[in-house]
Amino acid sequence: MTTFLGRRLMSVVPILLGVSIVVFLIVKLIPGDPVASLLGPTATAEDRARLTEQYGLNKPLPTQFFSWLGNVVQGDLGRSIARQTDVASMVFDALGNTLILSAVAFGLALVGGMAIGALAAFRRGKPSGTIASGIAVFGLSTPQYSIALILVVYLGVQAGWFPTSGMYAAGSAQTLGDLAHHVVLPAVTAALVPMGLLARMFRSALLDAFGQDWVEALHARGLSPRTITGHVLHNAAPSVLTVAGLQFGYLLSGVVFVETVFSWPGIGLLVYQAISQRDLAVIQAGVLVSALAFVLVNLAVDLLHGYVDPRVRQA
Amino acid sequence: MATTAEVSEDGLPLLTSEAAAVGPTEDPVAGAKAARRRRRTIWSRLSIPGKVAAVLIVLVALAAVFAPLISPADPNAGVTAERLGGFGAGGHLLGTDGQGRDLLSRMIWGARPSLLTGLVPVLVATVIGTTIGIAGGLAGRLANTLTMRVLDVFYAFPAILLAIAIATVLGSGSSNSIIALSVILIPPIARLAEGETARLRSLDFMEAATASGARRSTIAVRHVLPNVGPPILVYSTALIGLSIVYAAGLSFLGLGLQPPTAEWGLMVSDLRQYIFGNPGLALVPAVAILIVSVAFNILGDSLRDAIDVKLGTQS
Amino acid sequence: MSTTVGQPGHAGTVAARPPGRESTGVVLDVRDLHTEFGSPKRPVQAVRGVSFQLVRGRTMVLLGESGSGKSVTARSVLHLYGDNARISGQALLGGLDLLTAAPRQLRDVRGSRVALVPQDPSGALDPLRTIGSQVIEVLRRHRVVASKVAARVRAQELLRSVGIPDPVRVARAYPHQLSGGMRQRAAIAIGVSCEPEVLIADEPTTALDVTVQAQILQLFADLQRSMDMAILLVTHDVGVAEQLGHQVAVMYAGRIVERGAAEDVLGSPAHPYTAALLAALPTPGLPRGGLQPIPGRAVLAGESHSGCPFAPRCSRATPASLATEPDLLEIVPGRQVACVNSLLEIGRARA
Repeated sequence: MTTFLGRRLMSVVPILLGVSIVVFLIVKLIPGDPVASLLGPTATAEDRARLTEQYGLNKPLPTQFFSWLGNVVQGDLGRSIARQTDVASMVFDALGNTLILSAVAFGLALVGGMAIGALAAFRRGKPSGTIASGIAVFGLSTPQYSIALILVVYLGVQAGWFPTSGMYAAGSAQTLGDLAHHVVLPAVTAALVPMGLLARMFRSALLDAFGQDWVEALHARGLSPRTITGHVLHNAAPSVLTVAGLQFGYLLSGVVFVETVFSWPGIGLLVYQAISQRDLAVIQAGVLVSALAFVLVNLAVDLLHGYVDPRVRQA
Repeated sequence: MATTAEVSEDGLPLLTSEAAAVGPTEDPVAGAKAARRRRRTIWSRLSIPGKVAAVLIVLVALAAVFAPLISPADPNAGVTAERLGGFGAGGHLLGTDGQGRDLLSRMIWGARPSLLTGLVPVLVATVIGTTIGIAGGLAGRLANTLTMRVLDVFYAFPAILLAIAIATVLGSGSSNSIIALSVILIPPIARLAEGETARLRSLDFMEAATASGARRSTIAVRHVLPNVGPPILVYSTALIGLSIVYAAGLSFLGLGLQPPTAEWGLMVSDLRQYIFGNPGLALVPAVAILIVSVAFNILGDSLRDAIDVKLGTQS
Repeated sequence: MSTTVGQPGHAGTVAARPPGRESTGVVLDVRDLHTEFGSPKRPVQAVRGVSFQLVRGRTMVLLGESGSGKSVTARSVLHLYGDNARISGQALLGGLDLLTAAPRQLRDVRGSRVALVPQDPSGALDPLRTIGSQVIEVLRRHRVVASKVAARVRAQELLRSVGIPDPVRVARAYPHQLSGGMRQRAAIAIGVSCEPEVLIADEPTTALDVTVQAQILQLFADLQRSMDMAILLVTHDVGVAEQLGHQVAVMYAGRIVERGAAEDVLGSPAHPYTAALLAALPTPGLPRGGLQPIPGRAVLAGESHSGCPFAPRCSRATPASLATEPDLLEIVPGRQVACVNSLLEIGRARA
């Protein structure tokens, strides 16, 4: 297990490097003069020269990359032009909010997905099973913004059951109950696609597992149906865990539409706003942190998979 | 209960432990082609939901193609006096938007860019991705590993984030949207193509082809492509739905097409501001995108079931 | 059926049969077994009226090609198809008919009184559980041991008794970490763990290397001797039938077409199919060019036919064989053939 761990950790390093290179390049490639946006049109030539020197913008690209990387590793993500604050703290605050939303959505998706998937597998061929499968396919096809709007209109505006923007009611104390109230609609919206995917995956894994030859051998040993179901679930778990983990990763990094519609102050919204404000440092930091989180979650899923399924460790 | 008996279409049982399976030395395509001649056409093998989905998609496509003929009004002509009319107001079947433009006309004309920016990236990504994948699968170990590692870096990015980043760099506009989406769709297709090619490579008939002196490009076109093609095509079909959703999403965020073009994602974003007074307006394009997405997924699933899955595995 | 003891085996066979030992009675009595798959409108009859008896300490071999129905027969006895098949007939284990037993009774019998060793060792073991845990699971299910500690000890004994040299390591291992031969031994260990009266082995050596095959066959013989088990062995390999079989029943198209003592059936076959089967297989000592493939293809279960199913490929076919399907008739005490043109005439056995 330890060599498996070591190998996996090693394989992540080049990916992290590649990711940081891509992120760096992306921002470098955004059209426009960063110095001009920083200083505005009234800047003098000396001001521009000074800033260029300060940010190292006249040095060759690789040098810029390494100094940027050096800063990042030490926790310095630059300063936001638009808000004149330290980017690192902005980004990590936003990440925390996205984490809350993602975690709730993930929980919903996992529970809902496994329930629907199990129903679809065990009641295959019967109406309830077909409906369950249908719900799964529907769920995984939904565009976040479409569902967001539908929920906002019917459950938010017209029924008035849930608030439709922000994390807390403006001005009030930030209680847990208030948070819970606000997180429902966005979390449900974000949970639909992962729930559909998980349901479909779980159904397929269960049917696969029940069709394995050794299941017949288990019957031939006289084991009880409950015991056999336990064996089957155990065998279906690894693939489900993998997909589930990936879904969590996608949730962490892909909720930009939900955050936009619901004004949820997470990383997605942060990056989106930074794009319209041409706040380069924030765009860079936001994309980097999101990608990083995604890679780390994938790594964790990989390790978990190795733990649950011993066959993977040899790979 | 576990079973080892299935009945094929001709009524003959395929007892798993005694089935006359296609041996590993046979070319799966030749065998499958013969099998296909004996079976019904693909259309007839689609499930009922699959057929409904296919018809729906064709209808939407036709509406897009014949937009000039069937659109009741000019999608860009807005009469301010008639703005924000509800369904059926003043002869407008779906009402009017904030600038008095007929919503139905905008929906019909909007189908064009919405479908196009969804379809073209998939086509491009399929061609490029398949090429990369097959080349990688047939290449020597070093080239293969290198290709897959580079793809892994792109895989490390959550798709939507990367699309947003690329679109930001390239600027707004439909062609840039298409480029951004093509880039994010290439890795999964390439990975599928590479996986299938690698699997095929281990079959004996491939060794036979190489031993007989065939050039790699010949092998690629005449042996690999026909076998790898079907699973890739099925996968790509499902990707179209996703691509349409992402394309509309980019427009929703302001990164794709720009106003006043009629495009469904753009319309969702534009009409969102009227949610409180006229919720139905924004819901029309939102639901339209949803329905098209569901249809493509159902069609993709149905196609996968209809085509002989023995030719390849689906992720 | 026959209770005569066969003569000690052919040249080169394993001495599997204790000479001169008296058999002690029928353990499993299968009568008129029919197994049907598919929809009632388009049924596929895989087994069409098969009857046989398993005797304590003796091995009955079901010999046949793919599609003959031999595996289906074996699995039908244990009623492993559940609702996927319609089974009629009787499988009497002592006083209990396995085919109509209540689910709980059936589960109690499986694994403890009648056990299965599947063909493919990968198809016998849960890939995510250690070997040891799977052996222990069966032991505890059928209450063969009193405590967890006793279970672990017994599991290791069992693994050792099937010829696994390092039972402690193997017990902690997962199936994919072992070779095919080891996995098969583990599967056999699970099978015999509760000292069953009947062991059903479905092609136990097909997936193994030739050298390992011989060891596994010897293992079966040893276990049979020490536990006095009846073995129902399903195989297409004549060599395996020779080495382990006391009785051989040749199956074709879902029925038994010939039955008798192993050396009789394999040495002087009565049914043309048996003869053709033996002639088609490579045997040491056969002169070059001596292989005789059987023309045509084997009948798959469920294909409809009139008359004898083998007639289209048979060199001895006559209009009579094509007209009606022959019954399984006793031509000599202990020898049955379903053929109107059999190689042995009724009442006269070849010397």
